[in-house]
Amino acid sequence: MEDNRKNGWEPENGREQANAPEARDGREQNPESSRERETEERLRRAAEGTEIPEALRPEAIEETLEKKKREKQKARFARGARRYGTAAAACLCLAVGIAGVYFLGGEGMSENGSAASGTESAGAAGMASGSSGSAETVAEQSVLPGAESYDEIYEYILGARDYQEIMMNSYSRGGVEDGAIAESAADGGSVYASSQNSGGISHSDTNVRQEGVGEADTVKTDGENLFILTDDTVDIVGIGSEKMEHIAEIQPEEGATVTDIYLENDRLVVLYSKVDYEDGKSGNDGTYLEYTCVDVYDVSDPAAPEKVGGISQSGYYNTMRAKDGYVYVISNFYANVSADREDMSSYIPAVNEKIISSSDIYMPQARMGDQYTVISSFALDAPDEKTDTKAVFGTSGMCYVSGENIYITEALYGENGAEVSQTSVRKLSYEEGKLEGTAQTKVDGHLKDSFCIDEYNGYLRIVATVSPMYEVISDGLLPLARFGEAAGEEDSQSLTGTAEEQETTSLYVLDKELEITGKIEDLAPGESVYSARFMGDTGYFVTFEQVDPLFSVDLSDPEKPQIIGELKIPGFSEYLHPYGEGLLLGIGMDVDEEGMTTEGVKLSMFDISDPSNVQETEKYVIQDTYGMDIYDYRAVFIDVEKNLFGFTTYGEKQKYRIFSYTPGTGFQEEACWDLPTYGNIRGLYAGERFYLVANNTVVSYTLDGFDKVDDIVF
Amino acid sequence: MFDYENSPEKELIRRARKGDVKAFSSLYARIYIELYKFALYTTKHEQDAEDAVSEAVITAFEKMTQLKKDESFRSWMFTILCNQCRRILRERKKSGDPMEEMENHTGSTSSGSAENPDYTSAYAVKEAFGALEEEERMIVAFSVFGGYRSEEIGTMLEKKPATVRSKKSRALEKMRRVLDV
Repeated sequence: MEDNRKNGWEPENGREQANAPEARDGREQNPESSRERETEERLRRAAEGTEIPEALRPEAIEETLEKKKREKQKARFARGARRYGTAAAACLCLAVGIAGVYFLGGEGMSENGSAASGTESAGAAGMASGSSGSAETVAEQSVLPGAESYDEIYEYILGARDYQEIMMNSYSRGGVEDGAIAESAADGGSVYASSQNSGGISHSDTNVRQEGVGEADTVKTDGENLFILTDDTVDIVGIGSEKMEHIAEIQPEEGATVTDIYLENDRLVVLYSKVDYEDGKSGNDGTYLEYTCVDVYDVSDPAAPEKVGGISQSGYYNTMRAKDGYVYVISNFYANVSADREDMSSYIPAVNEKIISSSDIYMPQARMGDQYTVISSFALDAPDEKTDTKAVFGTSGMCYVSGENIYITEALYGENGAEVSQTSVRKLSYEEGKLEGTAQTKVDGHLKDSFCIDEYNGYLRIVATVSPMYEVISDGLLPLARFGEAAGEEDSQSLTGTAEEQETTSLYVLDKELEITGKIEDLAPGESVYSARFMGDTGYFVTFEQVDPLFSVDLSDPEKPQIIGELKIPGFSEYLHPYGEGLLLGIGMDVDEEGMTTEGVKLSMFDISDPSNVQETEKYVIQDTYGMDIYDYRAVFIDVEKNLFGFTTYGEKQKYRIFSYTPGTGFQEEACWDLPTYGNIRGLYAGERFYLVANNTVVSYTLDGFDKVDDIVF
Repeated sequence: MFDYENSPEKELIRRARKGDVKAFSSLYARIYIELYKFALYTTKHEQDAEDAVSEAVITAFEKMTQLKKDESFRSWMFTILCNQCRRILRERKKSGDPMEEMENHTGSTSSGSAENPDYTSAYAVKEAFGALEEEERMIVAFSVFGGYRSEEIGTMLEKKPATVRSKKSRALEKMRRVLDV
């Protein structure tokens, strides 16, 4: 506490932001009676003596897993070649969909991998729903076909239902339940996780993925006010004078979970989720339907925000983008696959409570589907009605939005019987609110984050980690061996050993139709991609296992991407950001020479003036830290012109640090403050002051010297 | 030698994602007691609980690459385990296993079948959980053994936080009555 005051950080009665389970008694204190807490405590105490079975002790578990690992090495079996981008792959992935891996597992055992390819594909095609001729599926691979009718969509829903039942039965006591495990786990993380200049006072803006495309965040400013998402309200703090002032609070409807806000030209966009209970017409005990809602406020008088419109659409909030006065809202909707045909709201997403027309729904790449990505657009100056809506059936995941296109990606981990991780990519163009599906594909490998996918001059560049997949087959863990990458190295390797189990890195260049024009594969065996940044005709990416190769790749010829440099240094960068002429900033971890222990957060400045000869010109290790908040790039404050960047570090204490960089002198820590809470921490500047926002607390500092000016808790 | 016991979770996750069994078991060692208790009081059956945890472990290890970088290993494990428990309970219902009904009688003393005599210290807890419906058991177990808030439980069970809160309230009231007897 002493420390906090010294640093000008006075949380006073700040509401505790309870993110970690340890903070259990924080927010729920009020609604919960003390009697309830006491009962819980009694239960916890009484259960203390619970005896844990021997087989579950960590040593025993370790042994079990080791044994599984050995078994799978012995009982290796081959699967057919499946390469992205070829007609065969397309056909296989689609056709194998339902039954492939689960039924072919046993009989598909073959001594020789390469021979299995043809057999398996034939077998799989025969086993799948039958209607999927290969010609049809190949065609589906590259264009985004719209649904012909709701009946057609319902067939796919039934496909997903069958699939889930098949999984249930074949695994009555097996291992994997279904993809939903990972999905729901992933939801937990992302759903609750989570500008533009208007002239006037200069101010920083959210660190966005794509220059020129606006993104929502938890804090926004117009230079004269801060708009801050606090729990489930939006608070407006006037920063026109040295003394900050809380001037208004916006409270969306009851039960709303506010996720993000966006500000542009006196329009404040508030994005939130709400859940409706649908009582069981479908015969179940009812279902909960999640909606993503958008309220637009006129904040030309920030003391009196006025709601001027909004839309709502089905599904969990994923993200939003803004360009040319239009807002694009992206949500993920999970269909209830056990819904009756008539119960359409359970499996067809809706916008403004109206079910999306079937012609605006793009059909899945596989022959079943239980999730959608829903995209709606509206004009900021006419927020009462949507401009357009499209739903992409079958895919939901990380979205990358370039200046012209929305790419919906989803990592696939062996779901379709593929033996390596894959990513499905589905592309929609956008312009002045109009949306249109244009292409789709699937490539090998999964993406670390949205910086691993980038559009430039009409070409899409992707850098992906290709991981071998394992499936639980009867009792053992068996690898889905990878074949067909190079006809030469094949069988002996995959039968004997370890090589094909390693992760590798692939880089692809795709044209407008998402056809691969050029690629580099099998880079950095045993390592995975830690960060990437594409800058025009050059791309940089970092892979890591023991040392940190920073690869530079020349992309000027889309048909012949070429690795032109490989800088090896200890440690790795997890975030890369262009830092002015010829410089690239890396934020990551320092690691000792053996690659065994991390020694703190590391800042690196790379001289990239000659991409074929990249140098680490400066390095700075922040002592006593073990991590930093850069996984959400919006949490990084960076202003190259002002030569300042800041982010949160984790160590014994959570701190916010600001650095500058001077050639020759290196990195300089300009400020360092203890942070009292978890949750969304943002740093930003407006005019001559810097603001550090942590949930419901703001502290202001001089931008020149970082002396404390004022603080406010609301 | 890599220091597994004192390494930050993120580093262990990174290693476990690459198939490092030792790293995985170090992560597991930090939470396994809570995991087992959750499974035990949710399924009300020792063998089922053991199966649920070991199956969750195998699934998690194998799907480790799906754990996102910024996601907590603990919440991820709990979510997978919760799915395993649900599956076991569903199967039990389907196969008409009478256990569910038998143990649902509030306060009924052990009818001797699945009871382990060494188990007395936790007996009262078991009895209290016996008074609850399946969903109530999960909510309370998440709260008591996982330390999760209603919002988080709501996310994992796909329920509204308010619904979770009121269900938990009711369940705890029932349990209190059993404990107070």
